[in-house]
Formats: sequence, structure tokens, C-alpha cells
Amino acid sequence: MSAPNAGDRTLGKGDLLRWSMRLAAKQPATLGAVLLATLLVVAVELIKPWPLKVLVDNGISGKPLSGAAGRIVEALPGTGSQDGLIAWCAAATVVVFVLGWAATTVAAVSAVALSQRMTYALAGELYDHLQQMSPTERGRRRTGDLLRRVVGDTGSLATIVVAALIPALTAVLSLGATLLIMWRLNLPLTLLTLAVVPLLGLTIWVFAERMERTGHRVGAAYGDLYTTVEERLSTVPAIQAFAREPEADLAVWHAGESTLAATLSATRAQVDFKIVVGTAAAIGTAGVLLVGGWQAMSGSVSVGTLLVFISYVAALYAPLAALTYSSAAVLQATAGAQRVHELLSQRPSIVDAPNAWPMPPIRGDVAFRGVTAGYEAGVPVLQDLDLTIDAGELVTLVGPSGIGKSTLVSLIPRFLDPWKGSVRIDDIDLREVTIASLRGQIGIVPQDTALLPVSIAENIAFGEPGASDGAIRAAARLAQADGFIEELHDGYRTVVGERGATLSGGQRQRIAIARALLLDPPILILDEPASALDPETEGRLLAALKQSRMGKTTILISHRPQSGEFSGRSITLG
Amino acid sequence: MSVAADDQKTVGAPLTHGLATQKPFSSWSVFCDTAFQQPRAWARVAGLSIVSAGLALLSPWPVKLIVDNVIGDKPLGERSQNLVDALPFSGDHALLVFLALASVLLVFGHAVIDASLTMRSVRLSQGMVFELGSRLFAQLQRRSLTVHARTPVGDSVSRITGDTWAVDQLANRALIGPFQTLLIVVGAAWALKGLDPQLTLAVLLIAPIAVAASLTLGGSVRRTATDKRVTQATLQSHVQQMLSAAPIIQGFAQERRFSARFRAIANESVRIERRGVVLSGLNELASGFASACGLALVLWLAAGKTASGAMTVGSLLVFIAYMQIIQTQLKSFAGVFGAVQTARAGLDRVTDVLNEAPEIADIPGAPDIDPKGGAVHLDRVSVGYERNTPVLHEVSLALDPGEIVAVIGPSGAGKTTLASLLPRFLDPYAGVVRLGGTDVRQASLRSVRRAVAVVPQDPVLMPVSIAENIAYGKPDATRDAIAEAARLAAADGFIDQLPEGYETIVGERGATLSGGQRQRIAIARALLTDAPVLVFDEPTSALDSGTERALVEALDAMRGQRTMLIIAHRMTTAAVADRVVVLRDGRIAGEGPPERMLASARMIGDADWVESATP
Repeated sequence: MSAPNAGDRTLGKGDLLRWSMRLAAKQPATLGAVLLATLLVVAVELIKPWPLKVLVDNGISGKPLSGAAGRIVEALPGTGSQDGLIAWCAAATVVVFVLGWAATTVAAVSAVALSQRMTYALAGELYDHLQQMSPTERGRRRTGDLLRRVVGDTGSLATIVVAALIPALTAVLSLGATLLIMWRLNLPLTLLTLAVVPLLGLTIWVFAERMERTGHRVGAAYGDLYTTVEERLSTVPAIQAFAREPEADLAVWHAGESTLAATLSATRAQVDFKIVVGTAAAIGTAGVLLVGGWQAMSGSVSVGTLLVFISYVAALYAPLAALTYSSAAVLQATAGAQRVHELLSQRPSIVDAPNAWPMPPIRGDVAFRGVTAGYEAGVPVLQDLDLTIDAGELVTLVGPSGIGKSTLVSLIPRFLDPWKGSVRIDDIDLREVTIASLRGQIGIVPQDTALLPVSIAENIAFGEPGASDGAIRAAARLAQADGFIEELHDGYRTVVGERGATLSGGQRQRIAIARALLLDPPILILDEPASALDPETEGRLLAALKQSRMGKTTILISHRPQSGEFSGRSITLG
Repeated sequence: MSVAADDQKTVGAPLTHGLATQKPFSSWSVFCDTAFQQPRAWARVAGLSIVSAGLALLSPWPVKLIVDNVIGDKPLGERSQNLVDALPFSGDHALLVFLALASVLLVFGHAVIDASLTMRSVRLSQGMVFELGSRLFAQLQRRSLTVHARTPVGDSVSRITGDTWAVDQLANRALIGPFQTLLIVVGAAWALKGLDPQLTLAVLLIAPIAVAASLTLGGSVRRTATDKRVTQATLQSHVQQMLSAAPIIQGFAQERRFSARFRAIANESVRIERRGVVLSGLNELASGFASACGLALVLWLAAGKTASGAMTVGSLLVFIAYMQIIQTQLKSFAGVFGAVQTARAGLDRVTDVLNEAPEIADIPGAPDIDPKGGAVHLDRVSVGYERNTPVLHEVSLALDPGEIVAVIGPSGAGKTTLASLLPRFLDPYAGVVRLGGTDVRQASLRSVRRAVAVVPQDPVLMPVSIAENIAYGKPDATRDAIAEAARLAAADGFIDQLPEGYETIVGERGATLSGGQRQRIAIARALLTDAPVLVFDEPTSALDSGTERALVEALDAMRGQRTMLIIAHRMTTAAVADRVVVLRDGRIAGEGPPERMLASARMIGDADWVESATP
């Protein structure tokens, strides 16, 4: 997980198993409960046929009890009489049944708990990881795709443990125990049963490959379906504007069809496997019936023992089949696990240095020294840039689109690190201090003003959740937002829609400005704060800013040269 | 199944269905509609279930005959004896071989029938899921943009890819499963009554007791199912919120607050999930315990009878085997009520969407529009987003074919709303929007939108190459035409500088491109279409003055060829227009040639407009 370029590498089956086991081991109590309950389930399964054997051999035919088990039964009161023994056997059936059911329930509950805990622990890790990624890194991916990795794909690792590893462990345990007991009961019959095993092994080997392949195809098909739906829904405005809905319908339909086809081919593999294994098991059972029946006719084996054998033979094949299914389950979970892994192994490029210290209170000197920076390797946006902004200065950055104005300011809160050179505040290289302490002192109004679907007041108080109503209103007034907010039905309590969809572009911009002004930060960055405002409102806003930001560093990006006139200095890039 | 023509037909069918129906669906009718489109498939599943139940009930008989008639010395029944006499061999050993072979054949036959049953029911029920999913997607992507903007994409995706599985659940758990249980119970009763009528009655009593026991906890299971859906939805929308607000969260250093919230929701989710499993475990235990007691009772009675010789050991084994078969069936039956409730919750979320009366849809049989060179008329149009809060009040505006009209005015005046009327993203509350003289509501939506190309304020780009993005409205455009459109939109310069040029794949919402670059691609995309009407919503808001000038010159050169409506707040952009319209508070406050409007702007002392309009 920690190798920087591990994301390029496809995860092998072994990597997946190790990773899922590591995650499971982080939940020791729950894992312990699952394993204990599993052991209990196996034990109960082994006991299950015995009450019937005692009933048939001793209860009905009246033969005396024998063996170690017989002595235990004899010690119980009332087993001396035939009626008493029958009643005990009936009661034992209920007890075994209830025990089995209880063990199964405990196993199911703890397995769900384990899988949920594992999933959410991993989802939490991924969530934090995403929060650490720089806007550039996140910007390369679609929101819907990331969402799915956090809330959907993180379950794959738990699936491997709960649907593959634990059933496989159960299978191995019950296989071993069953064979051991069979061996003790009747050697010839056991050898007869085992004769089928190589044949079965061959079948499993042949089918495992086919089931893995189809399982993987199912996982990939669901991934495609999800991506198709998500991509199309994310771009609905463009689809509608150019009337391309029929193509989108068709794409989703095809993705559904191929998912169904993949599912059917996986189901086909499973049912074919079931036919072959079921028939092999039936041949084994028939062999036991044939030889056992022969022995029973000559009296060398009791009918009860024969019954125990038949039920054990049936129980022998189930675990073998489970082993095959679990390898398919691993492969089906691969696609999801791979997506989680790919994201987790992309290490955030901007992190705290190991010895980072908290940024002291900022005075406001900003200096760029020989900075070269960009987003794509080999395509620098800024080259050898030198620029100094003094504490308390009000500057406007102007220049043609695409020249790097936004890039320049995103270096200040370290949304981006320079490739060469350094960015310094109060003569401290930003890479030496902790990110949280730095960003806590910088206010930003980004070009794309994301609002949260909460009330306007909460949106303005985003950076300082405890802010008073008075402070919120004052910030809104400065941002020229109080006028339209007061006119809304619920004023400051109005809940804005998803991404602020219920407000106009200019209204969203002003709330974002109020949000930054509320903090009264020592450095304030405004990236085209007025692009959606009419000139009149823009003028009032700039005047208010000029007054309230007196003596504090403020950087304004504008592509309109005239905005520069409000500031002390206008810097032209390009 | 994958012939293109077939697909087209099947895709089309649910659409007209979804759009034309006025009466609201209930969740059950949505299920029935989806389910019973294939009566034959259902009949096959039912038929195979009957054969499968028959074979399952036959399977214990070889062992019974071996125990009673081969190992034991009971004579065979008259009918069985006749059958055995017909065999070409005789004697106990031969019978043993025959029965062993028969048991293998029974298992093999059962496995083959079951395989076919599984394939058919998977095809049927999952086919229903994808069918419903396609129908839902068709409806969701045609939602009005206003509704679309308010709904998180993740929510819509989970309805299509998650909630539609409700029909699979219902088909398997509520229909196919109980039908098979019924078959087994009835078949077992019929087969057992010959062995011992009294015991058969005892066996049959178990079924209602077990079902009743599982009902007692049904209510809590139902509540938990609902809680589960709610927390899942909460978690999903929280993550979505975090992802879309991530730049702000980082900018304001609020990561810890968000992480803590995520973990709180996740813990709640674990708690509810666990409660759900405990409850359904108890539920199963209740019905399981009831049937275990029944089993013990039957065992005790039967063993007594066997000991006294009133019944054979083999018959006892058949009774036990049948009890186990019935028990397995009842076990799957135990979760039915919970499953139906869970499925109901999902189906409701699907039905909610299907029931939405589409705000903007074709009237049945709507003809394609003839834009007649691109004449646009807005006739006393009032429109808005919330009931009783119109944004535009009785606005009338006419654009002659080939005319360029600029709309200016303060933020919030309704400029974007006005622009949304032309491609019919919105329908007016009152008044009419006409294109080429035809009310756009009377024509097919597709033809209207093909006739009006839009450059929105916040352009959405597709996650495909830049060339494909530019050709989005005209997929068959040649490479030369694409490059020419890019040149007109002043986008060719930066595209050529990208390492992969026109083949560069665009990131989410065009995030690897700057705002101005995105805008220029959207402009090229609109220019490349054949649409006679172009609508630009602040096409130059993210452009510097040099790029703006180049673009305005390009629009100027196209004068007379297409009708253009340009929303602008810069006079330099508005100056290209033949006519400038001023919008204030949702009403037209004045209109005239750009020079006059410029003069009036000077008159009211709006310095910014004056300066930006001065060359």
C-alpha cells in the first residue's frame, strides 16, 4: 500500500488475500467471534446425524448401547428403557437443531459486524485520503467515480474475507473432522468415499478457472454499468442541450445487457459445476449404499452407522464445492478492490513534512522566489517567477486567461507546490510548516464557489462554525449579500440546494466572499470574485473590500483591467 | 438479444410508457408491469419448479427401500413388486444395485433440472432489474435541468443501480420462493399420507406455526430495513458533499470536522446493520425453533410406532428426510416479510421517480419544428423556478432571423432564465415561446434543441477527448470542421499546445482545463452545430480582453447567418449586437442599438460600462 507507484501494478490474488486479512486483523474481537462461531457451526454439523443413529440402532431395534458415546448416553437418566431412549433422541434432535441455529446466527451477526467494520474502516481511510489530495489530483477524477469507490468498492475487501476466506476455512475444518470420524467408524467405506476425491479434485480444478474468469467478468461488467450511468447523469445538461438522450439510453441498455450476459455466463459455470459435483457426490453415496448395504445385509455394519455415513458423505462434498466458490468470490471482488487500491496508492503530493511545525501568526509578507509550477509534467504554467507582496498590501493580478493567475495564488495555501523555487510567507518556506496551520490563516474565494446544501448562515460560518449571528451578518453586508439574503423566504436560515443550485451565480459568489471575510484572515485571496456580478454590485463590493481589508494582505485576481484601479498595485502576468 | 434494431425498439418502449402515463403508479404496479412482460418465462420457471419439487421428493425413496426391503426383510408393496418383477434380474443384491443406480440418476436429473431453473430465474429476475433500470435512467436524464441541478448524481445512480434490485428480491423471495415451498409442502403431504396419515397431519401442522412465529418479529425487521436505507443515503450524500466541497474544506482546514462526521454516520450504520441481522436471526430462530419442536414430536411419535412395528425404519427415514426438506423451505420463507419490506423501500424510491410528471416532455405525436431561418418570439412570457415566484414578468422579445441581440442587466435580473427558454429547458407559466412561428411546446423537444445551440454559463464537458467534445452536437463532423470551430472560438491556440492536442481527454467537469478554456470549447461545440439559433450565456465571463476581442470578431463575421442571443455584462461583448436589451427585475427596462444603450449607461453614470465599452 505504501509504494508510490503501486497503483500501476495490478493486484494479484495473493496481494488481495493478504490485504483483506490485514484489514480483518485490525478487528480482532469481531474476527475472534466469527471464528469461534464458525467452529461451533462445524461441530454441530458433525453431531447432527448421531441422535438418528442412536434412535435407529438402539431406540428402535433395542440393541444395547456401545462405545464411548454409548457410555455417555447410558449415564443419562431414563435411557435404560426403549421409550426413554427414544424421547432422549427426539429431545437431542431439538437441542442440536437449536444449537446449530444459534451458532449460525451468531456467525452471521458477527460476520456482518466484521464486514461492516472492515468496510467502514477502509472507507474512512479512503475518505481521509481524498481529503488530503490536492484539488488538481482530485480534479482529474469524476465525483461520482470517487463516491462509488468510497461507498461501494470498499466493501470488496470484506467480501473476500466473509464470502471467501471464512467459508474456505470452515470447509477445510469440516473436511478434516468429517474424514477423521468416518475413518474411525468404518475404514473400507471411508476409502470408498475417498476414491471419488481425485475425480472431484480434477473437476474443481477445471471449473475453478472458468468460475474465476466469469466471476471477474461480472465484477468488471457491473463496474462498466455503474460508470456508464454515472458519467451520463453527470453530463445531463450537455446531453439535453444537444438532444443526445437516445444514445445515452442505448449506452445504458447495452451496459445492462452485457452485465446480464456476464451474470448468466457466471451462473452457467456455477450450475454446470453443481451438476458435476452433485453427480459425483451421488456416485459416492451410491457406492456407500451399495457396499454398506452389502455389509448391513451380512450384519457387519448397523443401519444407523450406514445412515451416519450417508449424511457425512453428503456433507463432504459441500465444503469442497465451497472452496471452489470462494476462489470465484475473490475474483469477483477483485475489480472493486483494485479501484480502492489504485486510489489509496496514489499518494497525495502535498503533505506535511515529517518535521513540520505550526505556522506562527501571519503578518502577511508573501514572496515567490524563482517559482516554476504546473499541473502536467513537462507543461509548466509558471516559469522562474519572482514576485513580492508586502504585508498589508492590496494587489490585483491581471493578465490573459490561461496565463497562470489561479495557479499563482493556489501556491499560497499550498494547493500546489512549486516544482522549482519556493513560496514564502513572512520569510518562511511554506513546505516547512503544517498545512492545517497555514490554511487556517488564509482566506480564499475560489473561482468555482462550492456551497454546501445547508443554510446560508452555516455556509457563511463554514470556516468558523461557532460564529455569532452578528458576525455572519456583518460579513454578508461587506460581501454585498445581505440585501438578497433578507429577501429570501427564510433569510439566513434558507437552505441552499445541492451546490447552491437554487441561487444565481452572482449570489453564490457573494456568499463565498462572505464566508472568507468572516474569518478576517491575515491573507485573503479572491479569484475572480465578481465574474458573475453586474458592474454596479462589483463596484460596491470592491469599495467595501478596500475599506475592510485596510492593512491586511489581499490578492485579487481579475481579467478586467479596470478592477485594478481599486487596489494599491496592479500586477500583470504574461 | 443484441441485435441493434431490437435494442432500439426495446429502449424506445419504456420511454413512451414513462412519459405518456399520467396516472401515478403504485410500487406494486411498477413491479407487476416489469414482471409480467414475460408470461412465458414465468410459465417455464413454474413448470421447472414443479418438476424439481417432484424429484426432490423422490430422492429419499431409494434409501427407504434399501433399509426396509434389501437390508430388512419386509416384502415390497404390490406396485413396487410389479415394477421390480419387470426388471431383467432378481434377488436382493440385484435390487440393491438397481436402487443405488436409481439414486444416482435421481440426483443427476434433479441437478440438471435445478440448473435450468436457476438459469431461467436469473435471466428473468435480473432481466427485470436491468429493464427497470433502463426505464428509470431514461426518465432521470429527461428531468428538467432545474430538478436535475437539485438532485445529487449519486442519489440518482443509486436508484438506478441499487434500488431496482427490489424487483429481483420480490420475484425470488415473494413469488418464486413461496411457490416452491407450497409445492414441496403439498407434494410431501400427498406422498406421506400413504405411509401414515396421522403423522402426515403432524408434519403439516409445522408450516403454519413456523410462519406465524416468523411474523411476530416482522415489525421490527421492517423498521430496521427503513433505518438502514436512511443511514446509507445519509452516508452517501455526506461523501458526495465532501467531494464537491473538498476545495473549500481544504481551504478552510475543516477536514477533521468532516472526518468526524463521516465516522459518526459509519458507526451508526454498523449499529443498525447489526441490529438488523440480530433481529432477522431471532426471527429465523423463532420459526426454526417451532419447526425443530415439530420435528422432535414427529420423531418421537414415529420412533414409537417403529419400535412397536406399526411403521418401518425406512418409512421413518422418509418422514425425517421430508421434514428436513420442508424445514429448509420454511427457513427461506422466514425472511420473506423482511425481504418484501426492504424491497418495498427500494421500489418506492424507483416509483417516486417514475411518478414524477415530466415537467418538459413531448406531447404525443409532436412534429419536428421548422425554425424558418431562426426567428424567435417571446410573447408575454412569465416564468420562474418556484411556484408564485416568477423570475420573468410578461417579457416580450422578438429576434429576426440572423439578428444578434444582447441582453444586459444586473445580477439576478433573470438573464439566464431568459436564455433557458429558447432550448426549452424551462416552460413558461404564462405566455408563449415561438421558434420559426411555432410554439416550442407543440414541437418535438429533440428538434427544438437541435435548432438552438447553447453555451451555458458553467459549461459541462464530457469525459472524452476535446475533439469529441467539440463534435458533441454533430458527431459526424470532420476533423477540419472541428478545427475550424475551435479556431472561431479562439480555442485552437491552447488546444494545439496540449501534449495530445485534440485527443486530450477532459477530466471531470473539465477540471484540468481553466474556466476560460472550458468556455471556449463549449463555444466551439455550439458553433459547429447546424443550429440556426445560438444562445450564449456570458460567453466571455472567464476570458481576458484579448481573447474576448477575437471571439467577438468571429461572431461579428457570422452576422446574418444565424440568430444569436448573447447574455453579457460587458459592453465590449454587447457591442457586437444589432440590438441591446436591458433586463431589470425580470422586466425589459429598455432596448435599442448598442450606441444608444451605451449612451444611456453613460447618462446614469455607470462608469464601468462606459469604460469597458470604449475601444
